[in-house]
Amino acid sequence: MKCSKCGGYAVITLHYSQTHLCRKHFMQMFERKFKRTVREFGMIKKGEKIAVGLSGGKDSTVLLHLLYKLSKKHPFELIALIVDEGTGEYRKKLIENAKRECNILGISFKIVSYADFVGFTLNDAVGKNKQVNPCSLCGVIRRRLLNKAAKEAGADKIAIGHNLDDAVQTVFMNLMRNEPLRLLRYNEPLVNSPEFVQRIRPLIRIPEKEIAVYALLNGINTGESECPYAQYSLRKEIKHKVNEIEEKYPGTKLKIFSSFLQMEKLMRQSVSDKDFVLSKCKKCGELTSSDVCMLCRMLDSISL
Amino acid sequence: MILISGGKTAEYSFRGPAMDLIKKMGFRREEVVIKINGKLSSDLEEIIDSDEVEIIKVVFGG
Repeated sequence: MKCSKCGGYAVITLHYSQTHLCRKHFMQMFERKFKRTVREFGMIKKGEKIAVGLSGGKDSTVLLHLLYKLSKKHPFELIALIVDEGTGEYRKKLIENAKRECNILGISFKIVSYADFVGFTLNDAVGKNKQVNPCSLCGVIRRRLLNKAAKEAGADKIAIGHNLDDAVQTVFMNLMRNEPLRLLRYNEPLVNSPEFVQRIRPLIRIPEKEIAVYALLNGINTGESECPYAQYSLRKEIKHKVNEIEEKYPGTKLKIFSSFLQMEKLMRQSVSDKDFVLSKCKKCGELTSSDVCMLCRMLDSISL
Repeated sequence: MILISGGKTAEYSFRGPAMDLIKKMGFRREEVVIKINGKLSSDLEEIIDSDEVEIIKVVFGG
């Protein structure tokens, strides 16, 4: 297959745009898309300190490399936060990879663990509480821990490796759970508070497969494998279904994401700050929309 | 054709576009990349008997 731009050997076909790209033109397209997304959403300002949530998998590792490259042209500070959930060998391998990549790029990193933060590992909690959905628990702890670590590091923003596929899955998950308002905070915070470090998602317009191709072409190490708790994940089921639809109707993911952005705009016009009043959690003092925050409620339901 | 997938190597008889092989092997096109004779390739690339083809799973659950 020949590159649609230069006639060279195509390393990928983008079915959604019916184009075939060689290594050089794929890299150009990919990096341009990343930079355009950063600009489109005003994600990074000069001089800011950006904390990358680094898992050691392909998405966050590629993000680290892209941000590193960008920081050389548009000065901003970069650090990495590596989260250790305590999922045995799976996480150990990824952490080693994350550390190695940080060392290659000369980026300082900090490892923060569930064990230190909540007093148990994910393996401990799931092993002793069969009723607990590991993905829900993991997501809530991770969000809070990353926010805490980013605040302590003095970061202005947290950059996470969410890609187009993740965004589409999140849209579906929130609709399936009848929580459409959660989508409103996907791209920008609903409530501006110094307690919350804003999250940015510079890979949001890039399909997951293209991130893998970029990693392979650039020799970026990714210790990717499947999370041992993946079978409990609603996200995984949605991921496979969406990929089947994408294969049959190329461009579906991009169209869903574009629809989401339009809906988000309309929905934001119909809500005001008053609709999102936050108070302090009665147990931990963190800001929450209910009396007791989700993390405290989850921790109460776990016996160790 | 030599087929490498999931750490296993086997002789396999196939001719046609790579995406048909991907489907035949039970993968989703969006979740794998393909190397033909060691080169990352489009999934529309035609495979012939003398090729060595590697299917690499790059999208995982969770």
